[in-house]
Amino acid sequence: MVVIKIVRHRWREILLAFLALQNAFAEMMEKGKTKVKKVFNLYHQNSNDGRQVVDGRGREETNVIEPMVFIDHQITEDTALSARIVFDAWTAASDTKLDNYTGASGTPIMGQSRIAGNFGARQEKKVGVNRWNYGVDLGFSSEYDYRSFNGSLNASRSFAKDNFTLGASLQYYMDEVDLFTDISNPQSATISEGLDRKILAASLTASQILTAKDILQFGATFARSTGTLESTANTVDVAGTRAVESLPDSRSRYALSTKWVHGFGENSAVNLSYRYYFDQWDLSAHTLRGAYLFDIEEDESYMEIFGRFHSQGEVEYYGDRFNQARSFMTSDSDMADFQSYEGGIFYESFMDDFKLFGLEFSEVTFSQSLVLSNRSNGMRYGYYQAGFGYSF
Amino acid sequence: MKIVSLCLLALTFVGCANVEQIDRGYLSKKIMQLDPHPEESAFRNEVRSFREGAIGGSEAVGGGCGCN
Repeated sequence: MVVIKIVRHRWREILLAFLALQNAFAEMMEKGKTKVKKVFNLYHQNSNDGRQVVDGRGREETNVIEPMVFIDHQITEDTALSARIVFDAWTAASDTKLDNYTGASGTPIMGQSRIAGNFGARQEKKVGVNRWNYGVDLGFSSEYDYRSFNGSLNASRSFAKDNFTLGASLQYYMDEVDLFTDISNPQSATISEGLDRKILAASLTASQILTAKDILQFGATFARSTGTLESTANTVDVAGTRAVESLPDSRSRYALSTKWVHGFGENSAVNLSYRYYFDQWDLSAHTLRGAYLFDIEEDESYMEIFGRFHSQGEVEYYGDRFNQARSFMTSDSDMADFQSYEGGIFYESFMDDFKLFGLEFSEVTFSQSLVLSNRSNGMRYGYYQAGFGYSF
Repeated sequence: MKIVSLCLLALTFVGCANVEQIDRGYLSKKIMQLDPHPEESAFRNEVRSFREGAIGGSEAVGGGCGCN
Protein backbone atom coordinates (compact mmCIF):
# COMPACT_ATOMS: atom_id res chain seq x y z
CA MET A 1 0.00 0.00 0.00
CA VAL A 2 2.84 2.35 0.87
CA VAL A 3 4.49 1.70 -2.49
CA ILE A 4 1.25 2.48 -4.25
CA LYS A 5 0.94 5.70 -2.22
CA ILE A 6 4.46 6.81 -3.13
CA VAL A 7 4.07 5.90 -6.78
CA ARG A 8 0.77 7.82 -6.81
CA HIS A 9 2.60 10.89 -5.51
CA ARG A 10 5.76 10.55 -7.57
CA TRP A 11 4.58 8.82 -10.72
CA ARG A 12 5.47 11.81 -12.89
CA GLU A 13 9.12 11.77 -11.76
CA ILE A 14 9.36 8.00 -12.18
CA LEU A 15 7.78 8.12 -15.63
CA LEU A 16 9.99 11.03 -16.74
CA ALA A 17 13.13 9.28 -15.49
CA PHE A 18 12.27 6.18 -17.46
CA LEU A 19 11.38 8.04 -20.63
CA ALA A 20 14.59 10.07 -20.37
CA LEU A 21 16.77 6.98 -19.94
CA GLN A 22 15.03 5.17 -22.73
CA ASN A 23 15.21 8.10 -25.15
CA ALA A 24 18.83 8.83 -24.26
CA PHE A 25 19.80 5.29 -25.08
CA ALA A 26 17.76 5.21 -28.28
CA GLU A 27 19.37 8.48 -29.47
CA MET A 28 22.86 7.16 -28.79
CA MET A 29 22.27 4.41 -31.27
CA GLU A 30 22.78 4.56 -34.97
CA LYS A 31 19.81 4.26 -37.23
CA GLY A 32 18.44 0.76 -37.68
CA LYS A 33 15.77 -1.53 -36.41
CA THR A 34 15.02 -1.05 -32.74
CA LYS A 35 12.95 -3.35 -30.56
CA VAL A 36 11.58 -2.11 -27.27
CA LYS A 37 9.75 -4.03 -24.59
CA LYS A 38 8.48 -2.55 -21.36
CA VAL A 39 7.41 -4.86 -18.57
CA PHE A 40 5.66 -3.67 -15.46
CA ASN A 41 5.94 -6.09 -12.52
CA LEU A 42 3.86 -5.91 -9.37
CA TYR A 43 4.92 -8.38 -6.65
CA HIS A 44 3.44 -9.23 -3.27
CA GLN A 45 4.55 -11.76 -0.69
CA ASN A 46 3.07 -12.68 2.64
CA SER A 47 4.30 -14.86 5.49
CA ASN A 48 4.10 -14.99 9.26
CA ASP A 49 6.69 -17.76 9.55
CA GLY A 50 10.01 -16.10 8.79
CA ARG A 51 12.29 -17.39 11.55
CA GLN A 52 15.00 -14.91 10.55
CA VAL A 53 12.88 -11.88 11.40
CA VAL A 54 14.55 -9.84 14.13
CA ASP A 55 11.63 -9.46 16.52
CA GLY A 56 10.54 -13.08 16.19
CA ARG A 57 7.10 -12.15 14.87
CA GLY A 58 7.86 -13.78 11.55
CA ARG A 59 6.30 -11.18 9.27
CA GLU A 60 7.84 -11.19 5.81
CA GLU A 61 5.29 -9.09 3.93
CA THR A 62 6.77 -7.30 0.95
CA ASN A 63 5.37 -5.31 -1.96
CA VAL A 64 7.51 -4.52 -4.97
CA ILE A 65 6.86 -2.45 -8.06
CA GLU A 66 9.44 -3.08 -10.76
CA PRO A 67 9.21 -1.52 -14.20
CA MET A 68 11.73 -2.87 -16.70
CA VAL A 69 12.68 -1.57 -20.13
CA PHE A 70 14.45 -3.76 -22.68
CA ILE A 71 15.93 -2.19 -25.80
CA ASP A 72 17.55 -4.06 -28.61
CA HIS A 73 18.98 -2.21 -31.58
CA GLN A 74 20.30 -3.84 -34.73
CA ILE A 75 23.19 -1.71 -36.04
CA THR A 76 24.07 -3.88 -38.99
CA GLU A 77 22.89 -7.21 -40.27
CA ASP A 78 25.11 -9.06 -37.83
CA THR A 79 25.68 -6.63 -34.92
CA ALA A 80 23.25 -5.54 -32.23
CA LEU A 81 23.32 -3.45 -29.08
CA SER A 82 21.06 -4.10 -26.13
CA ALA A 83 20.12 -2.42 -22.89
CA ARG A 84 18.05 -3.33 -19.89
CA ILE A 85 16.99 -0.71 -17.38
CA VAL A 86 15.26 -1.69 -14.14
CA PHE A 87 13.82 0.36 -11.34
CA ASP A 88 12.49 -1.20 -8.12
CA ALA A 89 10.50 0.43 -5.40
CA TRP A 90 9.40 -1.62 -2.45
CA THR A 91 8.09 -1.66 1.04
CA ALA A 92 8.22 -4.42 3.60
CA ALA A 93 6.89 -5.32 7.00
CA SER A 94 10.56 -5.60 7.91
CA ASP A 95 11.38 -1.89 7.80
CA THR A 96 12.69 0.32 10.56
CA LYS A 97 13.35 -2.15 13.38
CA LEU A 98 17.12 -1.86 13.12
CA ASP A 99 17.53 1.40 11.30
CA ASN A 100 15.47 3.57 9.03
CA TYR A 101 15.43 0.92 6.33
CA THR A 102 16.35 -2.52 7.52
CA GLY A 103 15.20 -4.94 10.18
CA ALA A 104 11.97 -6.77 10.62
CA SER A 105 8.37 -6.18 11.54
CA GLY A 106 8.57 -2.51 12.23
CA THR A 107 6.09 -0.05 10.81
CA PRO A 108 6.26 -0.32 7.03
CA ILE A 109 7.77 2.73 5.42
CA MET A 110 8.74 3.62 1.91
CA GLY A 111 12.22 4.71 0.93
CA GLN A 112 13.74 1.57 -0.50
CA SER A 113 14.53 1.46 -4.14
CA ARG A 114 16.97 -0.03 -6.59
CA ILE A 115 18.15 1.11 -9.99
CA ALA A 116 19.88 -1.36 -12.26
CA GLY A 117 21.14 -1.28 -15.79
CA ASN A 118 22.67 -3.69 -18.20
CA PHE A 119 24.28 -2.80 -21.52
CA GLY A 120 25.53 -5.27 -24.08
CA ALA A 121 26.65 -5.94 -27.61
CA ARG A 122 26.49 -9.10 -29.61
CA GLN A 123 27.60 -10.21 -33.03
CA GLU A 124 26.68 -13.03 -35.33
CA LYS A 125 29.06 -14.60 -37.80
CA LYS A 126 28.08 -17.10 -40.44
CA VAL A 127 30.28 -20.16 -40.85
CA GLY A 128 29.01 -21.93 -43.95
CA VAL A 129 25.47 -22.97 -43.11
CA ASN A 130 26.12 -22.61 -39.37
CA ARG A 131 26.59 -19.59 -37.06
CA TRP A 132 28.75 -18.18 -34.32
CA ASN A 133 27.16 -15.77 -31.84
CA TYR A 134 29.14 -13.95 -29.22
CA GLY A 135 28.42 -11.09 -26.90
CA VAL A 136 29.45 -9.09 -23.90
CA ASP A 137 27.34 -7.39 -21.21
CA LEU A 138 28.16 -4.95 -18.44
CA GLY A 139 25.76 -4.17 -15.64
CA PHE A 140 25.34 -2.33 -12.38
CA SER A 141 22.76 -2.07 -9.65
CA SER A 142 22.49 0.06 -6.59
CA GLU A 143 20.22 0.01 -3.56
CA TYR A 144 20.50 1.21 0.01
CA ASP A 145 22.40 -1.82 1.35
CA TYR A 146 23.75 -3.37 -1.83
CA ARG A 147 25.79 -2.37 -4.85
CA SER A 148 26.89 -4.43 -7.79
CA PHE A 149 29.06 -4.21 -10.87
CA ASN A 150 28.87 -7.19 -13.11
CA GLY A 151 29.84 -8.43 -16.52
CA SER A 152 29.26 -11.41 -18.70
CA LEU A 153 30.66 -13.04 -21.81
CA ASN A 154 28.67 -15.45 -23.87
CA ALA A 155 29.15 -17.41 -27.04
CA SER A 156 27.26 -20.02 -28.99
CA ARG A 157 27.99 -22.06 -32.09
CA SER A 158 25.54 -23.97 -34.20
CA PHE A 159 26.37 -27.18 -36.02
CA ALA A 160 24.65 -29.52 -38.46
CA LYS A 161 22.79 -26.79 -40.37
CA ASP A 162 21.70 -25.06 -37.17
CA ASN A 163 20.15 -28.25 -35.79
CA PHE A 164 22.54 -28.45 -32.86
CA THR A 165 23.69 -25.44 -30.82
CA LEU A 166 26.29 -25.30 -28.07
CA GLY A 167 26.35 -22.26 -25.83
CA ALA A 168 28.54 -21.06 -22.99
CA SER A 169 28.41 -18.05 -20.72
CA LEU A 170 30.55 -16.62 -17.97
CA GLN A 171 29.25 -14.09 -15.45
CA TYR A 172 31.16 -12.22 -12.78
CA TYR A 173 29.65 -10.06 -10.05
CA MET A 174 31.65 -7.68 -7.88
CA ASP A 175 29.10 -6.85 -5.21
CA GLU A 176 29.13 -4.95 -1.96
CA VAL A 177 26.75 -5.49 0.93
CA ASP A 178 26.14 -3.54 4.13
CA LEU A 179 25.70 -5.87 7.08
CA PHE A 180 24.73 -5.53 10.73
CA THR A 181 27.52 -6.84 12.91
CA ASP A 182 26.05 -6.14 16.35
CA ILE A 183 22.34 -6.18 17.11
CA SER A 184 22.55 -6.69 20.88
CA ASN A 185 20.67 -3.41 21.13
CA PRO A 186 18.49 -3.17 17.99
CA GLN A 187 17.90 0.55 18.50
CA SER A 188 21.62 1.26 18.18
CA ALA A 189 22.67 -1.59 15.91
CA THR A 190 25.97 -1.07 14.15
CA ILE A 191 26.38 -1.69 10.46
CA SER A 192 29.51 -2.48 8.46
CA GLU A 193 29.45 -0.97 5.03
CA GLY A 194 30.89 -2.14 1.74
CA LEU A 195 31.65 -5.76 2.55
CA ASP A 196 32.79 -7.77 -0.46
CA ARG A 197 30.74 -10.41 -2.20
CA LYS A 198 31.97 -11.96 -5.44
CA ILE A 199 30.09 -14.37 -7.66
CA LEU A 200 31.52 -16.27 -10.59
CA ALA A 201 29.07 -18.28 -12.64
CA ALA A 202 29.56 -20.39 -15.72
CA SER A 203 26.93 -22.19 -17.72
CA LEU A 204 26.84 -24.52 -20.69
CA THR A 205 23.84 -25.34 -22.83
CA ALA A 206 23.29 -27.73 -25.69
CA SER A 207 20.12 -27.77 -27.73
CA GLN A 208 19.09 -30.11 -30.49
CA ILE A 209 16.23 -30.02 -32.95
CA LEU A 210 14.94 -33.58 -32.91
CA THR A 211 12.04 -33.36 -35.35
CA ALA A 212 10.01 -30.62 -37.04
CA LYS A 213 8.04 -30.38 -33.77
CA ASP A 214 10.58 -31.28 -31.08
CA ILE A 215 13.50 -29.47 -29.54
CA LEU A 216 15.53 -30.63 -26.58
CA GLN A 217 17.97 -28.71 -24.39
CA PHE A 218 20.45 -29.67 -21.69
CA GLY A 219 22.15 -27.20 -19.39
CA ALA A 220 24.72 -27.12 -16.62
CA THR A 221 25.43 -24.22 -14.28
CA PHE A 222 28.24 -23.71 -11.82
CA ALA A 223 28.34 -20.71 -9.51
CA ARG A 224 30.79 -19.88 -6.76
CA SER A 225 30.05 -17.12 -4.28
CA THR A 226 32.74 -15.82 -1.95
CA GLY A 227 32.99 -13.16 0.70
CA THR A 228 30.13 -11.92 2.81
CA LEU A 229 27.21 -14.21 2.05
CA GLU A 230 24.93 -13.23 4.94
CA SER A 231 21.86 -11.11 4.29
CA THR A 232 21.54 -7.67 5.83
CA ALA A 233 18.39 -8.16 7.90
CA ASN A 234 18.66 -11.87 8.73
CA THR A 235 19.01 -12.86 12.37
CA VAL A 236 18.84 -16.05 14.44
CA ASP A 237 17.38 -16.88 17.84
CA VAL A 238 20.14 -18.18 20.14
CA ALA A 239 18.65 -19.31 23.45
CA GLY A 240 16.06 -16.57 23.31
CA THR A 241 18.41 -13.76 22.25
CA ARG A 242 18.62 -12.39 18.74
CA ALA A 243 22.02 -12.61 17.02
CA VAL A 244 23.20 -11.94 13.50
CA GLU A 245 23.15 -14.68 10.90
CA SER A 246 26.54 -16.29 10.29
CA LEU A 247 27.46 -18.19 7.15
CA PRO A 248 30.66 -19.54 5.55
CA ASP A 249 32.52 -17.23 3.20
CA SER A 250 32.19 -19.48 0.15
CA ARG A 251 29.48 -21.49 -1.54
CA SER A 252 29.82 -23.60 -4.66
CA ARG A 253 26.56 -24.34 -6.42
CA TYR A 254 25.73 -26.74 -9.25
CA ALA A 255 22.65 -27.23 -11.39
CA LEU A 256 21.81 -29.63 -14.18
CA SER A 257 18.74 -28.97 -16.24
CA THR A 258 16.85 -30.25 -19.23
CA LYS A 259 13.97 -28.88 -21.28
CA TRP A 260 11.81 -30.42 -23.97
CA VAL A 261 9.44 -28.50 -26.23
CA HIS A 262 7.02 -30.63 -28.18
CA GLY A 263 4.46 -29.30 -30.64
CA PHE A 264 1.27 -31.09 -31.44
CA GLY A 265 -1.73 -30.44 -33.65
CA GLU A 266 -1.65 -27.25 -35.66
CA ASN A 267 -1.34 -24.67 -32.90
CA SER A 268 -0.22 -26.00 -29.53
CA ALA A 269 2.86 -27.17 -27.66
CA VAL A 270 4.06 -28.38 -24.30
CA ASN A 271 7.20 -27.05 -22.64
CA LEU A 272 8.52 -29.41 -19.96
CA SER A 273 11.62 -28.87 -17.85
CA TYR A 274 13.45 -30.39 -14.93
CA ARG A 275 16.36 -29.16 -12.83
CA TYR A 276 18.49 -30.90 -10.25
CA TYR A 277 20.48 -28.63 -7.95
CA PHE A 278 23.03 -29.27 -5.22
CA ASP A 279 25.54 -27.15 -3.35
CA GLN A 280 28.41 -27.00 -0.89
CA TRP A 281 26.05 -26.12 1.98
CA ASP A 282 24.26 -29.44 1.57
CA LEU A 283 21.12 -28.05 -0.02
CA SER A 284 19.70 -30.12 -2.86
CA ALA A 285 16.57 -29.46 -4.86
CA HIS A 286 14.39 -30.86 -7.62
CA THR A 287 12.33 -28.54 -9.79
CA LEU A 288 9.73 -29.58 -12.36
CA ARG A 289 7.84 -27.26 -14.66
CA GLY A 290 5.20 -28.00 -17.26
CA ALA A 291 3.51 -25.52 -19.58
CA TYR A 292 0.81 -25.83 -22.20
CA LEU A 293 0.91 -23.16 -24.91
CA PHE A 294 -1.58 -22.59 -27.69
CA ASP A 295 -2.17 -20.03 -30.41
CA ILE A 296 -5.24 -17.88 -30.02
CA GLU A 297 -5.19 -16.39 -33.47
CA GLU A 298 -3.16 -16.85 -36.62
CA ASP A 299 -1.09 -13.73 -35.89
CA GLU A 300 0.85 -15.59 -33.15
CA SER A 301 -1.22 -14.30 -30.23
CA TYR A 302 -0.94 -17.09 -27.72
CA MET A 303 -1.66 -18.22 -24.21
CA GLU A 304 0.44 -20.22 -21.77
CA ILE A 305 -0.81 -22.09 -18.72
CA PHE A 306 1.87 -23.51 -16.49
CA GLY A 307 2.53 -25.29 -13.22
CA ARG A 308 5.80 -25.60 -11.34
CA PHE A 309 6.85 -27.77 -8.41
CA HIS A 310 10.01 -27.14 -6.41
CA SER A 311 11.24 -29.27 -3.53
CA GLN A 312 14.37 -28.48 -1.53
CA GLY A 313 16.14 -29.64 1.60
CA GLU A 314 17.63 -27.19 4.07
CA VAL A 315 21.22 -25.99 4.23
CA GLU A 316 23.27 -27.70 6.92
CA TYR A 317 23.47 -24.48 8.96
CA TYR A 318 19.71 -23.99 9.13
CA GLY A 319 17.74 -24.03 12.36
CA ASP A 320 14.44 -22.50 13.46
CA ARG A 321 16.30 -21.58 16.67
CA PHE A 322 19.60 -22.50 18.33
CA ASN A 323 20.28 -23.57 21.93
CA GLN A 324 23.82 -22.19 21.80
CA ALA A 325 25.89 -20.13 19.39
CA ARG A 326 27.56 -21.97 16.53
CA SER A 327 30.13 -20.88 13.99
CA PHE A 328 27.49 -20.90 11.25
CA MET A 329 23.79 -20.33 11.80
CA THR A 330 20.89 -19.24 9.64
CA SER A 331 17.12 -19.23 9.97
CA ASP A 332 16.53 -17.81 6.51
CA SER A 333 13.22 -19.30 5.36
CA ASP A 334 14.48 -19.31 1.75
CA MET A 335 17.13 -21.86 2.76
CA ALA A 336 14.79 -24.08 4.79
CA ASP A 337 13.27 -27.43 3.83
CA PHE A 338 10.10 -26.77 1.82
CA GLN A 339 8.04 -27.54 -1.23
CA SER A 340 6.80 -24.80 -3.48
CA TYR A 341 3.75 -25.01 -5.75
CA GLU A 342 3.46 -22.40 -8.48
CA GLY A 343 0.84 -21.85 -11.14
CA GLY A 344 0.36 -19.15 -13.69
CA ILE A 345 -1.10 -17.90 -16.89
CA PHE A 346 0.43 -15.75 -19.63
CA TYR A 347 -1.31 -14.15 -22.59
CA GLU A 348 0.25 -12.20 -25.43
CA SER A 349 -1.67 -10.56 -28.25
CA PHE A 350 -0.42 -8.88 -31.40
CA MET A 351 -1.87 -5.49 -32.24
CA ASP A 352 -2.08 -3.50 -35.46
CA ASP A 353 0.93 -1.48 -36.64
CA PHE A 354 0.62 2.26 -36.12
CA LYS A 355 2.36 5.57 -36.87
CA LEU A 356 3.35 8.11 -34.24
CA PHE A 357 5.53 11.23 -34.63
CA GLY A 358 6.48 10.04 -38.10
CA LEU A 359 7.75 6.69 -36.85
CA GLU A 360 6.21 3.43 -37.97
CA PHE A 361 5.65 1.01 -35.13
CA SER A 362 5.34 -2.65 -35.97
CA GLU A 363 5.34 -6.00 -34.16
CA VAL A 364 3.23 -4.39 -31.48
CA THR A 365 2.45 -6.78 -28.64
CA PHE A 366 0.62 -6.53 -25.35
CA SER A 367 1.00 -9.21 -22.71
CA GLN A 368 -0.34 -9.95 -19.27
CA SER A 369 0.68 -12.59 -16.80
CA LEU A 370 -0.35 -13.72 -13.33
CA VAL A 371 1.75 -16.09 -11.22
CA LEU A 372 0.84 -17.44 -7.77
CA SER A 373 3.10 -19.48 -5.53
CA ASN A 374 2.61 -21.23 -2.22
CA ARG A 375 5.51 -22.57 -0.11
CA SER A 376 4.95 -25.28 2.48
CA ASN A 377 6.83 -23.22 5.10
CA GLY A 378 4.25 -20.45 5.18
CA MET A 379 5.37 -18.11 2.41
CA ARG A 380 2.87 -17.14 -0.28
CA TYR A 381 3.74 -14.86 -3.13
CA GLY A 382 2.31 -13.74 -6.41
CA TYR A 383 2.94 -11.21 -9.11
CA TYR A 384 1.25 -9.57 -12.05
CA GLN A 385 3.20 -8.65 -15.18
CA ALA A 386 2.06 -6.41 -18.00
CA GLY A 387 4.25 -6.05 -21.09
CA PHE A 388 4.16 -3.75 -24.09
CA GLY A 389 6.51 -4.37 -27.00
CA TYR A 390 7.10 -2.77 -30.37
CA SER A 391 9.67 -2.29 -33.14
CA PHE A 392 10.46 0.85 -35.09
CA MET B 1 31.52 -35.85 -13.04
CA LYS B 2 27.81 -35.26 -13.58
CA ILE B 3 28.58 -32.17 -15.62
CA VAL B 4 31.11 -34.03 -17.79
CA SER B 5 28.55 -36.79 -18.39
CA LEU B 6 25.97 -34.22 -19.37
CA CYS B 7 28.35 -32.58 -21.86
CA LEU B 8 29.20 -35.94 -23.41
CA LEU B 9 25.51 -36.75 -23.68
CA ALA B 10 24.91 -33.40 -25.32
CA LEU B 11 27.66 -33.98 -27.87
CA THR B 12 25.98 -37.20 -29.01
CA PHE B 13 23.19 -35.06 -30.44
CA VAL B 14 25.53 -33.84 -33.16
CA GLY B 15 24.85 -37.17 -34.83
CA CYS B 16 21.05 -36.70 -34.86
CA ALA B 17 19.12 -36.51 -38.14
CA ASN B 18 18.84 -32.94 -39.43
CA VAL B 19 15.62 -31.02 -39.91
CA GLU B 20 16.00 -28.80 -42.97
CA GLN B 21 15.30 -25.06 -42.78
CA ILE B 22 12.28 -25.43 -45.02
CA ASP B 23 10.70 -27.83 -42.53
CA ARG B 24 11.08 -25.52 -39.53
CA GLY B 25 7.89 -23.52 -39.92
CA TYR B 26 6.36 -24.94 -36.74
CA LEU B 27 9.62 -24.61 -34.81
CA SER B 28 9.73 -20.89 -35.57
CA LYS B 29 6.41 -20.24 -33.82
CA LYS B 30 6.54 -18.44 -30.49
CA ILE B 31 4.92 -21.33 -28.65
CA MET B 32 7.84 -23.56 -29.74
CA GLN B 33 10.61 -21.36 -28.34
CA LEU B 34 12.62 -22.67 -25.39
CA ASP B 35 11.70 -19.39 -23.67
CA PRO B 36 8.86 -17.67 -25.53
CA HIS B 37 8.89 -14.55 -23.31
CA PRO B 38 12.47 -13.87 -22.08
CA GLU B 39 11.67 -10.37 -20.79
CA GLU B 40 8.99 -11.62 -18.41
CA SER B 41 11.21 -14.56 -17.49
CA ALA B 42 13.95 -12.19 -16.32
CA PHE B 43 11.75 -11.05 -13.43
CA ARG B 44 10.40 -14.56 -12.76
CA ASN B 45 13.91 -16.01 -12.54
CA GLU B 46 15.03 -13.17 -10.30
CA VAL B 47 12.16 -13.85 -7.89
CA ARG B 48 12.85 -17.58 -7.81
CA SER B 49 16.58 -17.17 -7.28
CA PHE B 50 15.86 -15.18 -4.11
CA ARG B 51 12.80 -17.05 -2.82
CA GLU B 52 14.40 -20.48 -3.26
CA GLY B 53 17.71 -21.94 -2.22
CA ALA B 54 18.50 -23.16 -5.73
CA ILE B 55 19.72 -21.37 -8.84
CA GLY B 56 20.62 -22.37 -12.40
CA GLY B 57 18.76 -23.43 -15.48
CA SER B 58 18.25 -19.73 -16.22
CA GLU B 59 20.30 -16.55 -16.35
CA ALA B 60 19.71 -15.57 -12.69
CA VAL B 61 22.55 -16.68 -10.44
CA GLY B 62 21.75 -14.65 -7.36
CA GLY B 63 24.05 -11.69 -7.87
CA GLY B 64 23.41 -8.01 -8.31
CA CYS B 65 20.62 -7.68 -5.79
CA GLY B 66 20.24 -7.77 -2.02
CA CYS B 67 16.69 -9.05 -2.39
CA ASN B 68 15.78 -10.48 0.96
